[in-house]
Amino acid sequence: MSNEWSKVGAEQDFTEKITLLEIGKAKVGVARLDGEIYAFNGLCPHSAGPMHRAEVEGTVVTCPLHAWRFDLKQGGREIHDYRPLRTYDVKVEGGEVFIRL
Amino acid sequence: MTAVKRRTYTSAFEGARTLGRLLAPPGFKWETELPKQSEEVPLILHISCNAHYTIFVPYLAEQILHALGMKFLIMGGPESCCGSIHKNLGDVDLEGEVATKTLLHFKRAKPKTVLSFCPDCDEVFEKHKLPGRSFHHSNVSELFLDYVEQLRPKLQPVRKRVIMHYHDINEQRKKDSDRALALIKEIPGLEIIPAQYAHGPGIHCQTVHPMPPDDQAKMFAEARELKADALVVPYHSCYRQHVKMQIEYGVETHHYFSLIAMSLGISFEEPFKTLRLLGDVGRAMSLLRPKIEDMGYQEEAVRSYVERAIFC
Repeated sequence: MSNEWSKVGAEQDFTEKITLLEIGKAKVGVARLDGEIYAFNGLCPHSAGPMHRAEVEGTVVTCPLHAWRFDLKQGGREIHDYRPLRTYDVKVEGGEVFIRL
Repeated sequence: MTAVKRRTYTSAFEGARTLGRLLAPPGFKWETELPKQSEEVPLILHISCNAHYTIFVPYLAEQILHALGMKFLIMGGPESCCGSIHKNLGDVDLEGEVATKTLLHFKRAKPKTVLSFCPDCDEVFEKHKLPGRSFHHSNVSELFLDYVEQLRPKLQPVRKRVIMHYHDINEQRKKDSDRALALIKEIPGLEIIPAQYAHGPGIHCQTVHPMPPDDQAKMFAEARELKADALVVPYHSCYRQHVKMQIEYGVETHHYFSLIAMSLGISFEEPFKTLRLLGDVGRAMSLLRPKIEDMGYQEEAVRSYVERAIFC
């Protein structure tokens, strides 16, 4: 984990629709789900599926390629206990969203 | 897990994943992922996504391959998707990505042949075949027919009058139907009756473009008139559409693997048929409930999959 926080936008910019960001070389998905802002790897750990096109139910995001399903509230745990989705720290300060990879 | 009402990747894949596990015969397993340095296998049997609803069909393919003394690996789960679901859900761009990833995954085991029994998978994999493809991709019927000399002495009589349902929209599908017919012709005691209305539309009967109800009714009315015991279908998707017609017409629907299995003395159950012939979802759920509880699934979610996949 890096110590560096990246400012990625205003709090109100993030909704249930997943935004794909590039922070350095990393693709990062960001969305506000059940009132919380989550940041996670933009590529599925199974076969690098596009997580910004994931289906969303509550805090569960489902990769469109093969429906691996990750609960962001549980730190990206895959609900069938396959490999988890990496999640990143998020903080909101002064209405701005920061992500630490 | 919560139920999803509209058709989504979650419902399509989770339905296949869940019903496949719920309805699988004891001990029947398939791989969903291979290690990067996989052990080499000459043959992969591929279970298409929708075939998990009729999981006895790949089970019977496995049993028949065992009867032929084959060494093979079974790959299944949504992880082995061909991409046709993505196309059907409107993500045409993902079809090729998914197909290619699955084919590259198969390649890890360095197979000589990958067997499918789903016409959608056959066509999508062919469309997105890997450059310099290192394995032959074919319908299971091709291999079964190649080994018919080994199969023939093992076949015992099956006393049934049947009609062969077929698809011939293109050369490949015609070959599948012709091979299925050639295989069941090998079964002693089986009487195959010619019929006028046994022809299916498209590459297979399916939920997206099903056989029109009037044509379906005509096919089964003729089968009943001809005193057929069963309609034999070349694809699991045809089975899914036609199996319910037994309630009204008294004519069973069998996948052709079932007749070969009966002839080989392989015992099996057809949970899809058992559930569908109960006539309503509530009764089907009552039958499934102990297993749902035992396996820890959420009843509401399973109910939505049963409605969509079995009572569609």
